[in-house]
Amino acid sequence: MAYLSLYRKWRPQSFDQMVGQEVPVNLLTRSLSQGRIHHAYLFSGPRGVGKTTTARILAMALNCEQGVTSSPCGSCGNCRAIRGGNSLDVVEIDAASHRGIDDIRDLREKAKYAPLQSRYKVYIIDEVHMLTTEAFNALLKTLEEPPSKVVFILATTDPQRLPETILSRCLRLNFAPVEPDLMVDRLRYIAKEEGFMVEEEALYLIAQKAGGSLRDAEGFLEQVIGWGEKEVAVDLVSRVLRELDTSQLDQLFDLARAGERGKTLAKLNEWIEAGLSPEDINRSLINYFRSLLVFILSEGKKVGEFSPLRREKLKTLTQNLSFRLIRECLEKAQSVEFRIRRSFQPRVLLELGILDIIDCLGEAAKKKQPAREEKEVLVDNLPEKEEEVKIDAQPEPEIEPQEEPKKNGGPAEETNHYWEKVLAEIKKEKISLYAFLQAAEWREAGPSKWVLAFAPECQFHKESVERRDNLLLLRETIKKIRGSECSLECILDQTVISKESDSQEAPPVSEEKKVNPVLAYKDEVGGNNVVSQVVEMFSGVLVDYLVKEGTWKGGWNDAELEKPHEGSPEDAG
Amino acid sequence: MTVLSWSKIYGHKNQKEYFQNIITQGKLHHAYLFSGPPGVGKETFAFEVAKALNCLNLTPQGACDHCQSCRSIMGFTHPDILLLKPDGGSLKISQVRDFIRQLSWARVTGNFRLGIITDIHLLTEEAANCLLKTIEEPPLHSVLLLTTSQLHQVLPTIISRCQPFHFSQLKKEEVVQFLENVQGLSKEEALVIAEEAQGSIGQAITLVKEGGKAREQALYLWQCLNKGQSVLKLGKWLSSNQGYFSEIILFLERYLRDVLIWKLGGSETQRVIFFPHLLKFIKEDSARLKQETCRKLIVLLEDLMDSWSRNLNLDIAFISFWFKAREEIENGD
Repeated sequence: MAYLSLYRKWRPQSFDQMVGQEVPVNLLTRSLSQGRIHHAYLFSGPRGVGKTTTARILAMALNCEQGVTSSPCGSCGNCRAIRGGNSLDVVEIDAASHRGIDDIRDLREKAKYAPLQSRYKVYIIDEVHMLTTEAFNALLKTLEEPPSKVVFILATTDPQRLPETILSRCLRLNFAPVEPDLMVDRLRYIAKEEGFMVEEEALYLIAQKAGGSLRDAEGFLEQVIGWGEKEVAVDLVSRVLRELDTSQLDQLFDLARAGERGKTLAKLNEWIEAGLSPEDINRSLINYFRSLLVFILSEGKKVGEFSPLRREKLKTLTQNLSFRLIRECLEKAQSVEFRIRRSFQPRVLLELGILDIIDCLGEAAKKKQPAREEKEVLVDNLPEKEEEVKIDAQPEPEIEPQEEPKKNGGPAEETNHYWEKVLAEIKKEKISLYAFLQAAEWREAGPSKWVLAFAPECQFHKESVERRDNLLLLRETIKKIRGSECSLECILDQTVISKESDSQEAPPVSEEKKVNPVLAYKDEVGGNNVVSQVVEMFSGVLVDYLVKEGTWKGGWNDAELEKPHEGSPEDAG
Repeated sequence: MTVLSWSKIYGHKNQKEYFQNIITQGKLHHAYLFSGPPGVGKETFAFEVAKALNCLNLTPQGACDHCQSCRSIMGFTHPDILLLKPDGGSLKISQVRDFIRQLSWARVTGNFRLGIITDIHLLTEEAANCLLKTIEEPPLHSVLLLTTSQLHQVLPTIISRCQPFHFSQLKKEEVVQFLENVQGLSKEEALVIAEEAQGSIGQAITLVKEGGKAREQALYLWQCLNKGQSVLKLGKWLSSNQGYFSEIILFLERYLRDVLIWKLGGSETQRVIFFPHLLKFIKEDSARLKQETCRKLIVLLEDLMDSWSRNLNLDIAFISFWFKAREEIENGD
């Protein structure tokens, strides 16, 4: 017998050997033990998760000489024939190379005849998404009501390319990517059976590289043990698979955080000389940032993709990192990924991208104070987890160093207090939304329900705030500040008539507003607040204004306003 | 394409070791995928594997190069080696069907039937899907060797069925060795070309043939950009250099990258610099230009290359690049 690659050699031969895939496997075993057999199954899911394998096991289960069973014996004539691929009644068709209508006609022709040796005639149509339209349509009637004793199993990685009419005739089973944990267990088992010892970290690295596909993982394992070393260490794996192991990435990240541009680039150079392609490095970076994000978000809960050792390391690593900063880094790496594919100079792009990330990290280090604030807010969200995530917990007053123009002592002012924080936060995030919110009055209508009241003439403001993206941002911000979800409602209310002037009374921005000349101006021109509208429209802060004598007639066209300087909000705040 | 003996392959030490290892152990996978930048020797390597697998007097150092099998492989006449190459820009389903059919025939003389498919990123979608089942479970005693320079354009379902090997760019010393031994250049010449070839032997051979034209023209273009020469004059320059356009632009891009890196890291980064032989100019430019300007210029050059690769009107793309670049340089001064 010629040497078989691992993924063929260790192809599961019964349902209980399947890794992951609980849902489809349970469904099949149960329906088999009840004797309920559908005439057409569709297996869909990403590459290498066990679609074809399951189809073959199902064929065995149907035709095993022990009778229709959920655990085929694997030793009877039929089982052996199916496993060896030479059963007369189990036909596996490569639909990608036999995709025409003639192939399907041929199939229909032959499906009419009764099975020769076994109970059912099983057609496994693999890669079924590649059939032509005509072929699909030729199959429809047969698929709906096949001759008795015929079972179709269609398998594809791309189910959205099948016509609806096919989908609706099949019992569809979705196969999910395999969990890293399960994958590691399986790899460990195979390696042991093959007589190799593979380090735990190395197995996780393989699982990570495989991205949910067990076939990939087994292929990688084979490649790794092909080096002939009986004990496989993590650095061998990272060298063979060209997957940077996390400690190397940690080193790069540390250099980048320290702002060591030259050294970071030298490190990159080292990797490239060791044979990694810039695309690989960038992909590893993306995975790395993603894992940091996942860890920060998991708040110390167990996540299958990290080995125990790694979890400890991540705990110390993410101590002073904010979610937003990592997300920014991730986005930077992602945008490089997009360009790098088309580029003729992937290396140059990668280097530029890394420089960007260093800048981004450097800026964050400068504004360390706000970064820490954010981290604490995250902890506030889940107070019960506080002791697990060890962060230098600062007391409450530290949180608000700059934005606290007045003292918010009493609980009655609680709402206002939050509102200001929310506004300040929104102003940083999205200035236009901030402008609209200025027109609203903030009312607490319950423990977790707030009402935003707008004056009737502020219909537009209300509608803008109610836009999906704006509402989402607002809710998210409130959640961050308050630490709990809350519902929002926007209403128009007669009682909020002069909201626009009201909004100046509780200004979220400190000094500038205290001497806000808009109010004075309003008095002057008799309540007509063109200037404040202008200020609002551009989200600026009024520094000075000037009305030319005698030209003001109360309308837009005639008003000649000269604004010597309109400071941007960043300048003002 | 020249087929070399195993020991004469430059670089790729790991891959050589690995294949020597598994060939002696007989633990052969049924499909391998060789990826890596163009001109680093993927196909050469595939043929070397083919020779080693079928050689009649195999040595631990690889194929003997003398037996009948080796000689017929080198002459592309071996009946058990199937070579599938793109036909006019793509690999078509009819070609692939033929290939699959022929692969299933019994062996004629050799130990293995080998299917070598080059540039599999050029497979049409149908053709690629058509290959899937064959790559997963090919006929007995057959091995598939696939090569590509654009791994990300290959279907993930194909990659997942193969054992992927990445062939990275060669080290500078390896290219120098090649140039000295095979092309017969002097050490100095070889060094300069190796620096510009970016670890690709294919690229090095082209550079030897064109004799430094890209470098000359790239530096000329850079001079013009800095001086603000009339763009009309450059129209003529452009049409006379159309054949080397991409090389020139890529050269300039790499040069600017060096300037940027030098600016950021100074002598600490000397090891990372692409063109040490131009260090004098790099130093001058990095003293003169702002970091931001360098970055923007690189991005502009990237865009220009993008337009070039998409077959946009080159004159217009170039003029647009020119004015944007001029603006950046003027702002930077």
